Amino acid sequence: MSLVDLILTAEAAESRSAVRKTAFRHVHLDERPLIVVAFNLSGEAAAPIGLMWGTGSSADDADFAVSGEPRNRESRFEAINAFCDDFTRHLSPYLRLETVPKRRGGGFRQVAKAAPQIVVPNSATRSYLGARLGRSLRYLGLGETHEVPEPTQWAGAHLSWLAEHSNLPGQSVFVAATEALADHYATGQSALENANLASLLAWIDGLPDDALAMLESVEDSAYGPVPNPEWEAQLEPLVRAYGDALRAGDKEAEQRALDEVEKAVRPKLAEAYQATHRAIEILRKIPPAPGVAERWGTDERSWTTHAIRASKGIPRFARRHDPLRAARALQQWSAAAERLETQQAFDDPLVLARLDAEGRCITGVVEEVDRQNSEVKPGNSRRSSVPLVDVRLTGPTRLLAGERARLVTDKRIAAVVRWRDEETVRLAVMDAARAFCDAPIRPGHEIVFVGLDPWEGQDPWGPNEVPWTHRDGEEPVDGDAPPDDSPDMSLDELAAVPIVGIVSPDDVGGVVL
Amino acid sequence: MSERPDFSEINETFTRKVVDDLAATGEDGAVLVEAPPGAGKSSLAVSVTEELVTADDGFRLPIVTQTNEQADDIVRSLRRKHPHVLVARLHGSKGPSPAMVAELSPGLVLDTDHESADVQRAQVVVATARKWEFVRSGQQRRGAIRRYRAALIDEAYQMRSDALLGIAGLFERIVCVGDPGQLDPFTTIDDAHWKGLQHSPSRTAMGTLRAFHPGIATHQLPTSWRLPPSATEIVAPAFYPFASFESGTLEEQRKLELEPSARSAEGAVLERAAADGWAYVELPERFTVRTDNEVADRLARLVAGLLRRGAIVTDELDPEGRPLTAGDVAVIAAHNDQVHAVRYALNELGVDPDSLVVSTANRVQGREYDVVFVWHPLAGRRDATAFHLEAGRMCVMLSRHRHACVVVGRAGAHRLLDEFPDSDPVFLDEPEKFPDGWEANAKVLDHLAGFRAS
Repeated sequence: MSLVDLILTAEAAESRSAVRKTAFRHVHLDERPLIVVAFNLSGEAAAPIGLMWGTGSSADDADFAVSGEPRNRESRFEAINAFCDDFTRHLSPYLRLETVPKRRGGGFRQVAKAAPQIVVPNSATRSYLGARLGRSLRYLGLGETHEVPEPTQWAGAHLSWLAEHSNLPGQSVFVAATEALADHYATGQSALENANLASLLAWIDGLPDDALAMLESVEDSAYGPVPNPEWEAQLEPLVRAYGDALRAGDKEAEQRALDEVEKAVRPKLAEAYQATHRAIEILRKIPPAPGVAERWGTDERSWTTHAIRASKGIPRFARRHDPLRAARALQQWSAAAERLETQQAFDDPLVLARLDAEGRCITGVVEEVDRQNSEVKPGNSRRSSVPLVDVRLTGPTRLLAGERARLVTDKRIAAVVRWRDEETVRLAVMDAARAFCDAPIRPGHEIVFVGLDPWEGQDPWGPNEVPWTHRDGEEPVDGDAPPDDSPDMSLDELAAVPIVGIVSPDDVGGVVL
Repeated sequence: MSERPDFSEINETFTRKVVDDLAATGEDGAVLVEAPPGAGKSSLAVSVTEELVTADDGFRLPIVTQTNEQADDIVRSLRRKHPHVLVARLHGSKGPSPAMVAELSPGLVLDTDHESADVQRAQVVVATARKWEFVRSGQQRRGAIRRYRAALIDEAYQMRSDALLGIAGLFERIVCVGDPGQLDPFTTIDDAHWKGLQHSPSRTAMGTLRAFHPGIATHQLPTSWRLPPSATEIVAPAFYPFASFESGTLEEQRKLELEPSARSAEGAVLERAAADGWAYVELPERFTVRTDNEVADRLARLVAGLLRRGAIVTDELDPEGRPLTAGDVAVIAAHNDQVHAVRYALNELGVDPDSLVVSTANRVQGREYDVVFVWHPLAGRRDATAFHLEAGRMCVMLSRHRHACVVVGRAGAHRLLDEFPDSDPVFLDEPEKFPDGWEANAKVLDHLAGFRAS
C-alpha cells in the first residue's frame, strides 16, 4: 500500500466516509448495462436459488427466476432456463456482425457492432456466473447429458467467454461493482472488507457514530452468490415444503410453496439488484478518463472474436490453455496491466500523485534547458538533437541515473536520467526531441516526469508450434491420448483455434478458456 | 592446511563434462549446470563457449541472457579471456549500452539485426531472451526458422517458462547455467489459471524443462569462491539443502581489518562482523511503515562508520591486502522505497549514495561485494506475506558478500513467523516450492541470533 493510500484510508476512517481516490472514472459504463445478481444454494456448484437481471433502475421492473428446490433438476433448470433465455436474447443483438473496410491494405473485415456490458455486485458473483454456472451449462445436451433448450447452451458459451475475458486488466465487459467502486474510493476498511458491496456503499454514504454496529449489520447482506447462513436456515423449511409438495404431486401445494420461497428470495435479490444499480449510478457521476474509450475499443475487438466464432454455431471451449495460448495470455494480460497503469497515470492527476508519493516521478522546477545539445545516440552514426533539462526537485524521487521517464504533459517525450543528487536531476530527452523543443518549457516552470516507460513497439509473433522444451519427448500418436469424456476441446482441437490477442483491429482471433 | 579446491581445475573438469554431455545429447536435449552463489558460473559459461567454438570451426554459439546487463557482462568477460573469439552483441532498437560502445573493437560486432552479414560471421552471438524472441519471430515471418545446433542460456533459473517457449524453437539443444536458490521470475498477473500445468507460463523455464524432460543431465558446481566459510555454513543448509557446497577459501585466507576507533554502537557491530562474518542488529519491536526511518538510518550509519574505519581487505586475490572502498559495499532491501530511504539517510550523513550500491534483492542477483548490509524483510511488519518470506529473496541478500554481512532487523520477527504459518493455497499437481521460505527464514533467524551486536 502506498503512503497516499495509507493517508486516504486514515482520512476515510477518521471522517467515517469514503474518500475519492481518482479524479476520473477508469471504467467504461454503458447507458444501460445488464445487471445480474444471483444467490446459489450452499454446497452445490451451480444451483441458483434465485437470479435477477435487468437494465432498469428499479428492481420492480427487473426479471427474476426462483427455484423452489435447486437440488431438483427440473426446478433448478426452470430458473436457469428462464434466465438463460433472457440473457441470450439480451446478447444476441451484440452478436450481429457488420462488414467494414480494413484500415490497411484493402479488403473487408467483420466487426461486432458493439460489445455488451454486464455488471454484477461483486467479484464472487462474477466468477460464480462465469466459471461455475457458465461452465456447467455450456455442453448440456451433448452426448448423454441432460437436454436443455438451445438458449441455455448459448448462455453457457457466453458466460464462459465472459469468464475468460474478465482476466484482462482494464476490461469493462464483465464488471464487479465492488472492484469498480474500490478502484475509485478509499474506505477505512481492508481490501477484504471492500469486497462486500453493502459495506462499501455504507462507507460511500457516510457512517453514523456507531460505525461498527452499522457495518456489522450491513455486512450480513453480502449480495450473493453465497447466502447468509441465517437467512438460508430460514429458507430451509420453505424449500422443504416445496420438495414435499412436489413429491406428493400436489400441484396446488407446490404453487403455494413456490410462492413462499419466492416471497423470501425476491426481496433479497431486489436488494442486491438495487445496490448494484446504485454502485453504477455513483460511478456514473464521475467523469470518464480519456483512456476509457480506448480500452473499451479493445473490449469491442475481443467481443468481435467471440461474435465471429458464434456466427458459426455455439462456440466450444477448452478446459486448459495449451502452452502457446497460456504464454500468449500471460504476456497479453501483463502488457494490458502495464498499459492500464500508464494510461491511468497520464489520465488522472490523483493517480499520478500516488506515483509521485512513491518516488516514481521527477517533480520540480526547471532550472535550465539546453535545446541545442546534440549527441551521437548509441547505435547511430550521426549526431541528433538531445535536449537537456535540469530540474530542481521539489519532492523526493527514487529514479536513478540511466532510468527512463516521460513528460506528463506529453507522453511522447521520453527522457533518460543523466545524473542526479538529492536536489537536482538532469534529464536528456531521447524521444520526441522536436516536440520538447517546441514546448513552452522555461526556467522557473514546474515540470513532472513519470518513470513509466511501457513497451510500445510491435510484439514478436508467438511461435506457431510448441517447441521441444514444452512437450514430452515422444511424438504424439493418433488416438493415443488418454480417454477423456469431457466435451471440452482437446488440446489438438484447441490448437486449430487462432489465438486471442494478436487481435489488432484488422485481425480475427479465437477465444478459448 | 587441508587440500584446497583449485578454481581452474574445477572449471576445467566441469567445462569438459558439459562439452562431452552436449556432444552426447541428441536433438531436443539439454544439459543443466546448477551453481550455488559465486561458484564460478560465469567463468564456466565463458570457458564452455570458448571450448565449443574453437573445437569446431563451423560451430556458432548463441548465448541467451535474461537482462541486457548480463549480456554486457558476458561479452566483456569473453573479450577479456578469449580475445580471439569473434563475438556479436545483438541489441534492441534503443541502441547498445555505453559499456558495449566502450568495448567496441574488431573482435566485437554490435548490431540490432541478427541476419546482417557481420552477425552471421560471428562465432558467438549474445542477446537477451527477449531479443532472441524477436529473432525467432522475424525468421518465422519470413517463412523459415534456421536452428542453431546448440545454445547457452545464462541465469536460466531467472527465466520464465513463456520466455523459453518463445525461443526454444531456434535451438536443437541447450546448455542451461543458473542458480536455483535465487529469486524466481515473477508475474503481476494472477496465475491461478495455469496452476498445476507443466507448461504453466509463470513457472520457471527450468521447472517446465525438467517436468517434460526429467532425464536431462544435471551437474552441480561444488564450490563457492565468493562466500567465506562463515557464510556457507548457513547459506548451504538453509537454501541448498540437497546440493551441498563448500567454500573455496579457508577462514584464514579472508580477513577484514578495521582501524581501531573510539567505542561506538556502530563500531561494536562492525567489529563483530569483521571478526565473525556476521552481525545482527536488532532494533526494538515496533510496527512501522515500510520505509522505517530507524532501520534506514541505522544502515546508513553503519555504512558511514565502515567507510570511515579505513578497512583493509585481505583475501586470496589480494594476499597483501587492499583498502576497502565504497564500491565494495552494498545495501540490500526488499522494496524500492526502502532503497530510497537508505539513499536519503546516506546523503544526510554526507555519504554519496551513488558511491556504493543500494538496491533491491532483484537487482543484485549475480553480483558480489566485500561487505553487504541487509534490511531484514520482516522488520517492523504486522504480517509475513509470501513476498517477505520468499526463500530466494533471503538467499540473494545473504549470499552477495565475500567477507561480512550485517543484517538490521527488528525484534519480533520470530513471533511473526509463528503467527503467520504458510497459508498459501495448495494447487493440485503444482510442485512444492523448495526450499520452503518459512523454514529457511526460521533457520536464518536462529543463525543470526548467535551474532547479535548493537
